[in-house]
Amino acid sequence: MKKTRIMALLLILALTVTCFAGCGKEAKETAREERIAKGELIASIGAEPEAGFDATTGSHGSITKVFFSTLFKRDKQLGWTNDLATGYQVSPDKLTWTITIRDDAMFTDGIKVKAEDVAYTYQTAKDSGSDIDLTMIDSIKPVNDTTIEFKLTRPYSPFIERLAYLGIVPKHAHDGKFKDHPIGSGPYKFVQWDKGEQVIAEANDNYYGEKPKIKKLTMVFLDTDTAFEAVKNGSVDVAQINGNLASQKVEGAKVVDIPSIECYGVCFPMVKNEGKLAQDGAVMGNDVTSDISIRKALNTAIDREKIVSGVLNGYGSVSTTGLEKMPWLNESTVLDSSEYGNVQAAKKILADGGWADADHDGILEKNGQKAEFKLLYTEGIYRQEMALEFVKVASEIGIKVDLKKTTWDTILPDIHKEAVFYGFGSGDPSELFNMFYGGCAGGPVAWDNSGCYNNPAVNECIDKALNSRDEAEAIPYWKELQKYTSAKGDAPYCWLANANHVYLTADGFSFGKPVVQPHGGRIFDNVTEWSWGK
Amino acid sequence: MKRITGKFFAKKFIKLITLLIALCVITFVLMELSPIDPVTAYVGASTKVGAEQRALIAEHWGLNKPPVERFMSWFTSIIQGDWGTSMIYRRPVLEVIGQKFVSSLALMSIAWVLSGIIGFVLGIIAGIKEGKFADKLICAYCHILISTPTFWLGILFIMIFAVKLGWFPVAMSVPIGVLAQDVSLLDKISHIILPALTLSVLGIANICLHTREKVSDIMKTDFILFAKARGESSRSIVFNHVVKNVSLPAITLQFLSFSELFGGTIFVEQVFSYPGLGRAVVQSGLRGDLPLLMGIVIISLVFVYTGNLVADMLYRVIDPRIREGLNIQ
Repeated sequence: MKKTRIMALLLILALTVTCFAGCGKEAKETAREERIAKGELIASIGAEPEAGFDATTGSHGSITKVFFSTLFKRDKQLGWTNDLATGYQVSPDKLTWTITIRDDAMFTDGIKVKAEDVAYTYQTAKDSGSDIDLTMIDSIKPVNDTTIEFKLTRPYSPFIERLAYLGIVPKHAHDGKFKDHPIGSGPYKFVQWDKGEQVIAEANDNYYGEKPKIKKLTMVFLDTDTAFEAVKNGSVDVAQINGNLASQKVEGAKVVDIPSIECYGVCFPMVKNEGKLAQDGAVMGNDVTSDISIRKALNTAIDREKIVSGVLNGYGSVSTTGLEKMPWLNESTVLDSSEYGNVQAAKKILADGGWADADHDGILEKNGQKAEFKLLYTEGIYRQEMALEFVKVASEIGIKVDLKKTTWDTILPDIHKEAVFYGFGSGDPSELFNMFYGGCAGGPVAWDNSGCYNNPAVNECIDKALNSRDEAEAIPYWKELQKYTSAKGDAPYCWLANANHVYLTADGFSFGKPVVQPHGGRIFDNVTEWSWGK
Repeated sequence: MKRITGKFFAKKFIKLITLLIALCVITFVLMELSPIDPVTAYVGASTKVGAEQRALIAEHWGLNKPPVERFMSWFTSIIQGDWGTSMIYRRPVLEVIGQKFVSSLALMSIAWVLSGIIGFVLGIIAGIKEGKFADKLICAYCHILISTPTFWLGILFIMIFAVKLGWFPVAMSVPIGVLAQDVSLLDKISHIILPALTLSVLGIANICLHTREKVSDIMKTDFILFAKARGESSRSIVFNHVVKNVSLPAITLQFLSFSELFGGTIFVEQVFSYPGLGRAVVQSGLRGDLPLLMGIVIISLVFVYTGNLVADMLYRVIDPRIREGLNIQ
């Protein structure tokens, strides 16, 4: 009696559940087709801007470009092109940047975008104490409806980067609720935000630029593994994944990888450890890595192609400069494939440098100093695997590298005295200042030039580059300094590989022609080109 | 009787207050001792933020003041009811917690009820059938569950129930791309089942194994032997003797599991992208968002404490000996 009752209950339960589900599954398979027919897309890309969509209180990276227009943007060749702006002029003393903007741009509430909105956006952002560094701006003044004047405190050639950074917000509608209900002048109009879950946007019919092909864009914020499963079952169309997941075949979807400047490399301490202290009290210098033959030998020995095929599963490219594809790359500093992955040549460099294995323990010595140092790495995709390969190759040429996992907070006491595994590639030439400027060494921001590299010739080039009128005028200097900072010069870094940005997309979907992706991504920059190809 | 209850609550309340203050101080000290620099955490990996701007950020959020001063200003404002502003979300802490707590609460209560009932029933079955096949099966099941990481189980459930079978949606608490006014209750229910199930599965093992242990002890006692000798059916033995004796420890355990439940939601919400408090805890800790972390700590303490308090009160209801204030072993 009891058993039959339980059985009956179970049966009823099973029936209800499968009924529920049955309808669900049918619906799922047709749901994507329905979306394709209506020009709708569901994408799981990047992180949610938790603080909301207010460009004046924090940068949101690429997602800004969905709802907002910026003054300028990088074009496909990584030069500059106008977005909301129609042009810029820099005064002879290089302290005043005058920007003109188009007069046909409208916010999604139907009101025209004026110079005062631009000025308001920048002034508010400057005062907001957020992660937008506008400290080089002295004052901002709208001259007329379409002209804005930025006065700088010092000449700063990469200033245009900052002008491509903020989404312009409407002064008349910028209130406490704005971050939850943004109004912009970008390709999409804000519809709904379910916090922690999704943002729904629809195409902005009044957009001044190329009209978006996707009419309704839903951005969901899922865990990478979950997003992968969601593409599989058809509830999401595009998901950002990583090279490890990419090897699985998914029916009805394909892997798309987009070239990036997301570059990984090892930074060497460049000075001897003489007990000198950085501003925060950390010891600077390492007696092994400060020897140039160690750095050159490692640069020569590491087989980057093996890292690309082995660690990145082929979704990446070799890097020997950290600047591949950048307009300011100095081509003459690139190592060709015969100049790396060569253990014999590396051994010769070490022998010529005075390193020898006298006690036959497999580790070289010089003047009683063993060739050993630590490599510090942090949590992150690919990092551990790449660092392991680095350690392995180093041991082949008689250098003992101890791998140590750390965090960006606990790394600080050791950051100037051990090698550090970094991911760089902001796609902004002024990053070279952060990496190599002698004045940054041991300064208030520990990871700026953490290897304490200090070459007067490099410092001079950086000064000249930053003091130039604009990026075009600065590029020759940015190129010049790479003579010293590359593997062919002082070799302060050993660059390894660029990791492509990998996506799983439903069949038929196309990103159009995305620009080269920097660290953190720039995928929404060409959101108007996304389409269900037909 | 009434006086005793009044005294009981007064005592508990004073305990809660002292505990709260102690916890706030400890959390603050721990955050101070942790190597996390809130400014760096706030800026993230950006190389576009120089030293000058970092100083401005510290000033804006009052991070440049000495620790004691920061704690006192936070403490005085929270006593006045101002919980501060979250750095990550850039909105009042109470608003953030309010939004997130509601969805976490639904998730947790379903999981809690499920795990309690299933765990208790399984535990009794296993205890009665000790050593038999059913017992071994249940024990094996529990041991596997106990050693299973939550996030892995979550992904497994997604792969089986959402992708292979297509019974439930993959993640989130609402359907993707649907406007708020078009979301039905049924949608919400179908979204909560899988995460709640994942969360409950982990609680089951704990309750079940403890109950089983207790039941098997009771089955060995003289009064069960006596009942058997009297010719009582095993059904009546279970309902008249076992359940009554086991329910007290099971209830305690179930209410004490509030804290584990809280921990479990962190992983479950991560995997299912469920917009609850769990994810906010991790972020606020990792990114040095002190006001938010302190807020969540306070709320979770009250939550766990309430769980324990309810357990204490239920004792009085269920066991007349405690109600009478008797000292029992």
